[in-house]
Amino acid sequence: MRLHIRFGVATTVAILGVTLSGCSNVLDVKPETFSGTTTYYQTQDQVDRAIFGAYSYLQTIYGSGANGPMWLLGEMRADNTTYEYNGSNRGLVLNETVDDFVTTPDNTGVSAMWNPSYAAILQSNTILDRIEPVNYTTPAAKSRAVAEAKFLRALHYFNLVRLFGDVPLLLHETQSYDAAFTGTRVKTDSIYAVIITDLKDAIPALPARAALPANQGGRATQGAASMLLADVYMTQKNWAAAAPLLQSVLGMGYTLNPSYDRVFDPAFKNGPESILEVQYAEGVVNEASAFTQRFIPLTSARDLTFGTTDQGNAGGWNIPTRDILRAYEPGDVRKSVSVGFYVNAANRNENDVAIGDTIPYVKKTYHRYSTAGRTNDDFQIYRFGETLLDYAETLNELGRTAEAYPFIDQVRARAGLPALTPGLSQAAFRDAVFKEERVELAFEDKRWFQLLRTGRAIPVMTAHIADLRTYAAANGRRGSLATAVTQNMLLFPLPVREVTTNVGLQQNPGY
Amino acid sequence: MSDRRHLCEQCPRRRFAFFAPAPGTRTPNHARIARTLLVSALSGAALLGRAAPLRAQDFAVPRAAYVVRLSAMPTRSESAPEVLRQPATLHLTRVTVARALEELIARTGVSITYSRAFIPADRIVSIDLESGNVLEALGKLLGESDVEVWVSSSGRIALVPADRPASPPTVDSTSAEVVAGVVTGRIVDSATSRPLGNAQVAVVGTPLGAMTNDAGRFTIAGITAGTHTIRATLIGYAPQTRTVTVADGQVVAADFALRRQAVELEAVIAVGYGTQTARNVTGSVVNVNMDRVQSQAVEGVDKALSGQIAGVQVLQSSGAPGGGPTIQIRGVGAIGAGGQPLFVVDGYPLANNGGSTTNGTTELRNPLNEIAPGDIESITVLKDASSAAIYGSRAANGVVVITTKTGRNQAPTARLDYSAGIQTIPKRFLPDVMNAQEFAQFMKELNEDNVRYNLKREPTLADVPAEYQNPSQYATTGTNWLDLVSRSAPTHNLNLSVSGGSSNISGYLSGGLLNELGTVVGTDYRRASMRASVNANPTSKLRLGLNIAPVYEVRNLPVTGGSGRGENGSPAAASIITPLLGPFNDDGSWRAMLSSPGMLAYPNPLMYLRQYSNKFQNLRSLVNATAEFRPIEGLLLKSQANADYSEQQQSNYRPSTLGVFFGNPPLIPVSNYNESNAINWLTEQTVTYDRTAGRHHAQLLGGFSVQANRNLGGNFQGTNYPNDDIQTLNAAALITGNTDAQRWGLVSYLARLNYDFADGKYLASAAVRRDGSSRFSAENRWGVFPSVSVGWRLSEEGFFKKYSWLNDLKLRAAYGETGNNEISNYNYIGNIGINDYILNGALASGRTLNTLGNPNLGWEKTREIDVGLDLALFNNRLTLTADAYNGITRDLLLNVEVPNSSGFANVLKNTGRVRNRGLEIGMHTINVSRGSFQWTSDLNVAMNRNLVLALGSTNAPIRSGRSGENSPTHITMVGQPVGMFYGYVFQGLYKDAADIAASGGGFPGAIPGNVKFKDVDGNGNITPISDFEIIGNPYPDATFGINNNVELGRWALSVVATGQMGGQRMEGFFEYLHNIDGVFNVSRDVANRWRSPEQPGDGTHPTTAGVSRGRVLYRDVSSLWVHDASNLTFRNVTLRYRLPDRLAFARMRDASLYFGIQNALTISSYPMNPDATTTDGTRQQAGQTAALTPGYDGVAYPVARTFTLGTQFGF
Repeated sequence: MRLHIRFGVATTVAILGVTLSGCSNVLDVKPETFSGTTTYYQTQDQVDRAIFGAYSYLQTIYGSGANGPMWLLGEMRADNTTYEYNGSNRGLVLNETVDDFVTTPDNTGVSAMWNPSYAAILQSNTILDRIEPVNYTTPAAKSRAVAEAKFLRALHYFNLVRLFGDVPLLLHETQSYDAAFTGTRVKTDSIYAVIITDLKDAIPALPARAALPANQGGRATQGAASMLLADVYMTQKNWAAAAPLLQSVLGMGYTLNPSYDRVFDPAFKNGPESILEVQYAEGVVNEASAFTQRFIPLTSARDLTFGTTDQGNAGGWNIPTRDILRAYEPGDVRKSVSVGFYVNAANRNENDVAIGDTIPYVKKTYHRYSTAGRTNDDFQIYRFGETLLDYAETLNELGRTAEAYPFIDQVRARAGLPALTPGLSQAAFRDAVFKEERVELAFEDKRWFQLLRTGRAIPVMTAHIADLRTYAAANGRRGSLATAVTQNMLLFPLPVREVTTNVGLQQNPGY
Repeated sequence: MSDRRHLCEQCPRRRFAFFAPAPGTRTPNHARIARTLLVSALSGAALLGRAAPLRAQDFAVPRAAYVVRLSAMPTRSESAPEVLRQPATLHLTRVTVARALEELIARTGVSITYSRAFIPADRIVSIDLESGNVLEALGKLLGESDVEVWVSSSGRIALVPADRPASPPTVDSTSAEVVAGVVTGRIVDSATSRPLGNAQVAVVGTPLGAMTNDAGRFTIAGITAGTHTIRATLIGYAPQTRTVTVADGQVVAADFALRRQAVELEAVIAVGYGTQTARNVTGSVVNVNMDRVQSQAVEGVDKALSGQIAGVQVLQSSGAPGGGPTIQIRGVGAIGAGGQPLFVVDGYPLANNGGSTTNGTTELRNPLNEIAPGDIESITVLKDASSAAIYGSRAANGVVVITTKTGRNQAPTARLDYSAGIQTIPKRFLPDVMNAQEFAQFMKELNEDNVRYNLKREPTLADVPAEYQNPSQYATTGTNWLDLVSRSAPTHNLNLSVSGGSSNISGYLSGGLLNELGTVVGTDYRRASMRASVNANPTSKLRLGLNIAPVYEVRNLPVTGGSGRGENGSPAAASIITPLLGPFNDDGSWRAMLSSPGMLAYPNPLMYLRQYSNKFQNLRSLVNATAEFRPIEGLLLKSQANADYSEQQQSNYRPSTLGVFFGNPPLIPVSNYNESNAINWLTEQTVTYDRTAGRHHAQLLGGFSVQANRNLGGNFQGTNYPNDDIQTLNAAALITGNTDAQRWGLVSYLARLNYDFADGKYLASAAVRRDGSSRFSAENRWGVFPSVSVGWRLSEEGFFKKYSWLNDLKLRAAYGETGNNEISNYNYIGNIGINDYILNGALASGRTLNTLGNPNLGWEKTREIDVGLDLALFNNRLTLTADAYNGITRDLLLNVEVPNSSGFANVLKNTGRVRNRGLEIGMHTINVSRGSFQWTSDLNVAMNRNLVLALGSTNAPIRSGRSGENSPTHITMVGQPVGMFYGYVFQGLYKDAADIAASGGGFPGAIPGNVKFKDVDGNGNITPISDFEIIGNPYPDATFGINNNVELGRWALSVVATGQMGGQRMEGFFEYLHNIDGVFNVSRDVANRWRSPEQPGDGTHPTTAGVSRGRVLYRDVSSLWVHDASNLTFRNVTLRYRLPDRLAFARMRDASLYFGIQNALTISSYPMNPDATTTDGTRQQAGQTAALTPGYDGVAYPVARTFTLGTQFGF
């Protein structure tokens, strides 16, 4: 019996020993399908991958998402475009309210802008907080990484302040639950100060356009940062500061693409005119765009999808208004490049957007593609055409109207239009530039910001709503258009979730 | 003997003192000690040999099941146990007795234990036995010795020095012609006269005893002359005694008719890491009456558990073939982490691998669904924290301990169960929508009303689309889509089991086949299961066991989800499709898309169910290996190794011919292929020491276990198939996908002390477990989960003994802490995931920080106090168990919302407290027990009150759920129960312009006849959330179960009813059934809507005219969605007929036929199934659990009513 006991005890001890030794392995498991924060941001390669990750938010914000956000808040909000009423799928009704000026804080487009913008800011903040101890092959490479992070952060804050006004300002990685409660809104001026500082830091550290290898097309350059900073100054009406920046961009080797068409053609991506372009590739998983599906008329079903059997998920969004069609001067080559016309007898039922049997649609991002649902179109954030017009506008605002002509005329010449009548007054020139910017940059998500910057939003949008009411009355579809466009409506509401979770965060007035 | 255990001063070795008789009986001698030891070993063997609930006495009082004194060999050995009747042929000349015994053992395979000291082992004998049996051989070898042969109930034989009782000492025991009598008899059930096997019969005051055979017969030989008390006992029956006077050489009959008894105080029940007698349990532990469960005609035990246990809610939320009900114990504690109870099968806590998520459909997975009901020996539910605490970190939601059957030492017996059933969907479980004529009328009126509103003129017939102009043309035509997609579905269930064994090896083998068609066309479920269990006792101290249970399941489920519109062919979808059209075109081809003018085009659900392929298969194998070693009496070393391997594949394919919502065919075919496999293993070492000293009895348990899990998965999507010829992924031109790999581990130490004094009068128990989980960071990894409980059996006190009507009264009090770590792996680490970009057309692989890691993440803990009372009255005809508890779950693992401006949406955090307090009463009564008529009832009632005490850092409420209009449907806030219904408050319809003005304007464009919702914030504009209030409570005031069992002769009727009082349910499908845009078919009651001030309808259905906002508000979440869910459901009615013995052929015994109905009748004001709960995630916010959306009925796969006809045979 003793023997038995000894045997038993020995066995037990042996088993215990074996299992105990395995314990620490059992408990110390490491994630395999993702990296952990504790082990990342330690090498140059890791940080550079984080930079690419930060860039990827440009696709979210400027891309072809169902709720925008940029095409919805930057373009469809304004007078260039409207939407085709989708009587059968009311699921995206909140997009319509953006155009109808009855936007509520639960608007999905609003949160679709807010959330990824701040997620992108977090990526920049994290990189900036963590890059210090990381060994880089050259100091220049490291300062370039810092500059790219700052550039992207500035871009997102610039969008946020223009769309929402005062917003929370986060400049460091959110590291704890408590830190996530960002509290109050920071004044626009303070945010602009950060944006300007970031961009000033970034410009010298970024590569010049000429120095950017072709295979890095799409990354931030001195040109992109200068253009962004100039845009910031112009928005602040700091024309004096904007002018030299724009002038510097003029000297960076960018040229107008001789063909307006090619600016948007996926076959000629990152062309001579491109300053900052959101990159897509239809052949890479999850990296294709889908602007076509979003912007072709609902009624077109598969007529415009190049034979691919897309699931008929034509969006009918961003339909050019009659007003923008009228804005093109006769002979303007940009019209046929920018707007396509879908002709179908059935369109007559869509008489709020259709002109007879024709529904216009955005064509800048409409190009042949081969795989259903996956288009290859890039999207222009900044291009040289805008630089020229911005410079013309700035010179005019500085009272140097006469100097401004060559820049606007370059753009008009490419469009096949005659030079502007010489000797315009400053006010007349301002109107001319305003019109030119509208047409040149139509459907590039610039219009709402042009209206805000020039202070023309209320009258223009009042007219737009009146138009909508006129055309929609025929079939009584749009019941809830805004009764008036007010000052409050120049800012979007903060997302409802943000106001409910972030105690102390005040909603914008009127919402 | 238990009350005679005293230390023995004279004993040379104190450790034997234990077993010495009380002073005054006889001076101990070593023969007696050795005998006792052997007996102890035997009883140990007896315990090992069968897993049936043993009586406590088997432990405490070693007693053989059968004793024969060789010197008093009965003339006939028919009554001897089978092991002694085993054939033996032995021819030996001049060998020692020991050698001869060895030979006997070798030839017959019996197990004989003896000590050389007490049998004449060295005596030289010769034996010549041809075609004899073991008993005869033993008689020939030892017949002249003073030796008794003891046979344990497990068939082990011991040779024991005869120990004659002190009285009457008149017989000369050494004489070969010992005179003695034999008592023989039969034991039957008093009510049914059915023979009772396995009953214990003992001659009181002697070691003599026997066990009845299957015919209920027993024989005890060698009873000394005189008057004896014979006592018969069997679990589930009241013990009975008879006094017999035995004369020498006489055979005396003693028959017993045992009465059924409600209490099973002597039952040994599984309490986790061991067993305990029911009467000594101090926590809230419920042993499920398996007889009652298995007598119901159901295909899974889980369904049969419904209404059996107070405080255990079994909700039949979905009727998908192969899907199981959800089980919830004592309310909602966890709201961010998992809320399922822990299932422990044969000592193996199963990993909750989250079930299979297939195409958005998460099948809740509990192992009860994968075990054939007949294979389950017992189910115990550990409800309170003190009893569950031994499972520590995973026990906060309660523990369900399942023990499966093992073989017994007996001649092989077989059992065959076969049942066939038909399932139908009860009408009341389906939406009630308009028929073709009603719908055409509705659409006609809708168009007319729109013309009046928009164009301000009286409509003409031309304003109405042709299809709707003449509704009466559809009086006899039209399509009832729900009828088309549903069917009466047969089920077949076959189960065969064989069990048997010898004294040192026994086995149990069972196989089952289940074939179930679903009530929705195209769905089915097949399951093949096997269970093989082998136990071997190589020596008397060692027992080895191996149990392998593979299950293979195949399911076809071409419906994805069931909530929301469920556009892909689900029954929900079918209800709102135009009734004007049928599934086929006039030429007989499929009508792929269905819509009437103005309606949304819907893919044809019948076509979808026929052509869409969604196959699921699962192979799961549980393997348990155990080794038990008992070096000395009372000490048990147990080592256990388990593995659970599961391999699942799910693939679906949508052919080009099918359309989708907003997409007409032909479409590019798409497919999905998911594969996941999980291997989980556990090793566990425990030591149990059981010791009685005087009136003290203690059992100490210590243990250590390691469990680890590895999951691998892959998920691939294929598209751009050239055609439908080849549907597997390899034919797809474009394949995308990803793989997953995860691990987790749990290391645990546990200890428990059970103590009782004075034969269980005073009871105490304390346990502690320490768990380390890989799901938390190294600093917060370890959690300690202690518990204590005490019990006092008042009925054992002298002052209560005089009340003869009081059979048992026990007061209990317990405190325990349990934990919850059911969150996903690696949550404490911030996730840096893949987020790529493109540079100049080429991939630039990117990484982004996606989640905020929380290194402080730790256990969610529940502390609970439970006080209880166990009562048995009136000769045990009424037994009652009552428990009151108060549990607080703190440090909730909660996915807390954070402002998106932080860059994150949610953080998993330990924060918040939820309280569950409640009262549970379970009662069992024997209403009538007269002759062959027997009527027993069970009633259980549970009341649970849930309350949120704190939430997050700021107590900010959690809004959960998602209506079709993107509004939350539930709110969890401090001071309220978890997940209250949340939405607009319906206040009627606007009567006129004045009413609108008085209401503050309502909403832009409001017109009379629109819904009037309460303007909660008083700002004159009805908007989501800001005008939401709590609109209902999903929790019942009380849930109850009522079971009645009536036996009359051979007939037995069992009726199980369950229900709830109070509590509401949210009819999520309201948003489609009441979408009055004219795009769907609608609920029939919409006909009574407001059309004009002169035709105001029933006041709850608004006008179809006006701006869309009015219709959107109406279908968004409001108090109109909420209905009282009080109900009484006749869950199961089974009528059983036991075939008369004379019909039995071959060796068949216990044959019966039964007929059963599941879900026979539901009485409720709720419009559909009051139990339905959607948990598939389609109506939840990202990152939230189903616990936050209780009581939401999104129209799942409808639950069926099943008629079953079955038979059972034993051989």
